Amino acid sequence: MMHPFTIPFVVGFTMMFIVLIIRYSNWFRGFSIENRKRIANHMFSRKTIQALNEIFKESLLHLKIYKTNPILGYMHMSFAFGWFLLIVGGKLETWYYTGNFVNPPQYAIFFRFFHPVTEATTIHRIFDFYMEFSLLIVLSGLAIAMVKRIRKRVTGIKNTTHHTRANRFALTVLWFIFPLRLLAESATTSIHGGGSYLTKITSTLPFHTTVELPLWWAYSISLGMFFLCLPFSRYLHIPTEMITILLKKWGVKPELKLTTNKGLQAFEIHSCSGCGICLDACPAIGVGNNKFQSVYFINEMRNGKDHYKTTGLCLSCGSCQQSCPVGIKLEPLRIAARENLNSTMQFIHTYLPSKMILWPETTNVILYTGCMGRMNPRTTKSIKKLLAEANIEYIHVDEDENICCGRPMALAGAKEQAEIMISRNRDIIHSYNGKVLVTTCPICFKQFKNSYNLNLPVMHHSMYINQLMEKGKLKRHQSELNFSYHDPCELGRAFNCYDAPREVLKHAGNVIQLSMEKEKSLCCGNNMGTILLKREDRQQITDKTLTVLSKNNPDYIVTSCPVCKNTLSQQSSIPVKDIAEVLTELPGIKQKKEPSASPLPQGKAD
Amino acid sequence: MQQPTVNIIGAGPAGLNAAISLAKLEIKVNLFEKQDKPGGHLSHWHSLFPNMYDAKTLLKSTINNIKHPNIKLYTSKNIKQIKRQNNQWTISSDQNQEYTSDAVIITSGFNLFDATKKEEYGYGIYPQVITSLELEQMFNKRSKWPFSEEIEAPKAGFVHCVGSRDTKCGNNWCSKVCCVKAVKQAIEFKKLFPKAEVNCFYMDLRMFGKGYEELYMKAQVDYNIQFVRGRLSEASPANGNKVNIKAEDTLMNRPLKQNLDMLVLMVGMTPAILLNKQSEHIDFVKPKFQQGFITPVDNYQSIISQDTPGVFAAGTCKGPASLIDVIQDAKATAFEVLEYLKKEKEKKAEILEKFNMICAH
Repeated sequence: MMHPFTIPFVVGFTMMFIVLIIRYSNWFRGFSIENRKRIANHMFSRKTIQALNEIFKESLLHLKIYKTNPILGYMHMSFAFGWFLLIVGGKLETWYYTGNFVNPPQYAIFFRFFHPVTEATTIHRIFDFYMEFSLLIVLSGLAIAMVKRIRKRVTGIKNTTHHTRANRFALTVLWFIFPLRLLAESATTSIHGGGSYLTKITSTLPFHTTVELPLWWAYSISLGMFFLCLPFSRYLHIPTEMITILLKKWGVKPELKLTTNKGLQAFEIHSCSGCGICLDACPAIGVGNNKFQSVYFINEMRNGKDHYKTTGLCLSCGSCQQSCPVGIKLEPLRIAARENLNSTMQFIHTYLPSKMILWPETTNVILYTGCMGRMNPRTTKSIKKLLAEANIEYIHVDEDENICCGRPMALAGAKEQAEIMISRNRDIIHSYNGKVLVTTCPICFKQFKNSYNLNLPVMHHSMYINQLMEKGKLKRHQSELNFSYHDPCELGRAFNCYDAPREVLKHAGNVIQLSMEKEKSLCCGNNMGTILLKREDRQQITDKTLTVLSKNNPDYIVTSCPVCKNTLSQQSSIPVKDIAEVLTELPGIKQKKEPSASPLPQGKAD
Repeated sequence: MQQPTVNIIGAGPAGLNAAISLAKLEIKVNLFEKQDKPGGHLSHWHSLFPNMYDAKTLLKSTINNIKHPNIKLYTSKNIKQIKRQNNQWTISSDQNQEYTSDAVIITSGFNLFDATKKEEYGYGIYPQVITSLELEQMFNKRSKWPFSEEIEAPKAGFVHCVGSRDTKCGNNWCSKVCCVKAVKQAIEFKKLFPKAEVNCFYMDLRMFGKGYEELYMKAQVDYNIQFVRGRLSEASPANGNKVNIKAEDTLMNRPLKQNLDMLVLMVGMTPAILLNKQSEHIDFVKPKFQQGFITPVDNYQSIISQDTPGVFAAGTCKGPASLIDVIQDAKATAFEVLEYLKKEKEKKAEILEKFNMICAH
């Protein structure tokens, strides 16, 4: 059962386990007390079964990748699931053959060497068939992987990751494993007989008796090398991803301060397989000379390299997070990295207005237009017109002066600074007795929703207008106009708010279907998210986005974000409007007043 | 020998002056104008910096000069394309009329920046916010002041560099003339409303031309016009038909708020056309973002490209320039065209001579 050629494998395999245990226990030590309690509470619950289910679906079958790109999905699945089938088969085979459940792993892995010809019973034939079938699955995946490296477009992707030297080495070793296994097994079959359909074919090759052992040695060495590399390369994601899924299901939260080798973040960072699916999703890919996409950002963090640029250049549009097959929370990771880098940022906020209210005013809507509202007075004017038209009482809380919602600061990683703005703004908003806070800015909307803990519901104006229209408080005449709708990142991907603005537009005209929209919508190019990306690069992104939006010659490009509107309108030859402006400014869509002044139907929750 | 012909596209100051110069040199000129009258932007101006010369007088005398037997003026002709045929250029209008000539001068001029693109300044939203062009119309009494006639001491603000030196809207260039034009307009406004309070918001004042600096000094000393270094951040509506502006005085290091009766945006120059060069023809198309101004082969010539001999450009279609520079450039271009026509004529004569010699043998 033991043969000298198995030593490289045994050494590599053992070393991998030792390194993994050391690394993981280090990361585990970084968990806060709350997180440890969460693990303890949920470890023996249904959550674990749910996690196992997800591990099976995502770590082995890779269903998420399969849904976005079937060829890539099959490639990942064939590697992971095919290898998994081989492991399970090897286990069952040795168990059946020896009668002992526990056998050393090398016995299963090199089973064919030790037992070239098994008894010709049906069950053995089935085992042989099954093992060679599993190997074939893995080899088919390998073939795709090789094609992908040479001609990426065949597999339906435009960009592949440029890997580090260590990763390239590990990749090469991985590619050698399974062809070597096939060769070694074929040599054995050729000399000793046995085997199933696959080796029956390959064993016809002229194998000399002297090559058999060297081939097994080579197979063992490649395996050993791969396992030795695994904890130091991107293949660390294989075991780590499974643990991360478990941890997330158990409710573990990211640690407050990001450390790349502590807590949940360490597991997340090392769960990245470096597959590069985030590259094609990134609206900034191919723009300028920047390689800041998430796969590079994570790789730098993982290797302890300077990640100032990859952290700061990103526009935070959320596209990569949406596409990540591992489900890594990339945006919080980046912001946490910025917090580490920009913690010294200090600004004076003594100028911020404060509000003293003795008798809070009562109103229906508290309207907040934000800083970008000041850049878009047309939008502000339009939303006010619409509120007046629908007979909604409102207070424009930042009409004269406003405090930034704090999101640009938070995105820059200046958390404490953002907190000052948040608390001042919250005081102002809470000093009114409003039923709902409506904002025309998705950036403010996201900040209000996620970081404010307000005592009233928050709505983006596209949602509120849609509600007013549904209740019949606003009516429009459907025109022949064609609209292209641009989904703002902070509204679409962040809150899955795709339908409300489209519903509103459908009341006024036709909404054109675009090649990239909703989850796949491109960034306008001027998101507050970036602190480093050059203007020329951003304008290139805007140009790409406009190409998508301008197709089919719409009459208007419509969006519901003041930043998107401002950015797109600078470069667009087609007029760009906010959704509120569409309803108030465009001719031919205003509903003519009905002759009888019937009272408007009253909604329940306004 | 047949008299050579030159087609000139655009009858603004550049086109008019080039036409006059060429006509005087015994060259036939076809002058094409998109509008129904020649004059270009000059016909909107009231008076000209730095000497407050009357724009109408200048325009009248120039138009008088083009009543020359060698000049034929075509108005309401929108030129879409120029084509090369047998060493000649044929230009075609959007009504598919064609005109052939030995050389072409493009003098298509500029467009004023669309101030609605700077929405934060409120142009098109608040009636008090106007462009520098509209102010000239008011000086010309073609339109009304944006404030009530009863106001004796109106408060006015001028915003420099609107759509110029602004990477955000893709206009990275300086429009050259707005600095001194704002000074001129502020003085003119002060002459009409001596009690008015006028503030100019600038980022740099570029008084490069002859007499500009002097005019700027005069504005401060004689007319008490205030110059504030700092750009406007926004304009918003204020009570009493006023517009409220927020800016920063960067020399005093303090934020600033004012209620104004009139806010003038000094809109910059943007390209009017984009030349889409194909192998044998040039199409005139709408300029795209950051594209448009014609770049000649070098800064010292007006020929637009080595591949298109006989096509020249003059005036502001090459980039922002003052009226003085434009007129001088047009006259210089006329001489360059003359030189080109002479060379072509010599070439033709040479070929003819060779041909005659071959025939003689």
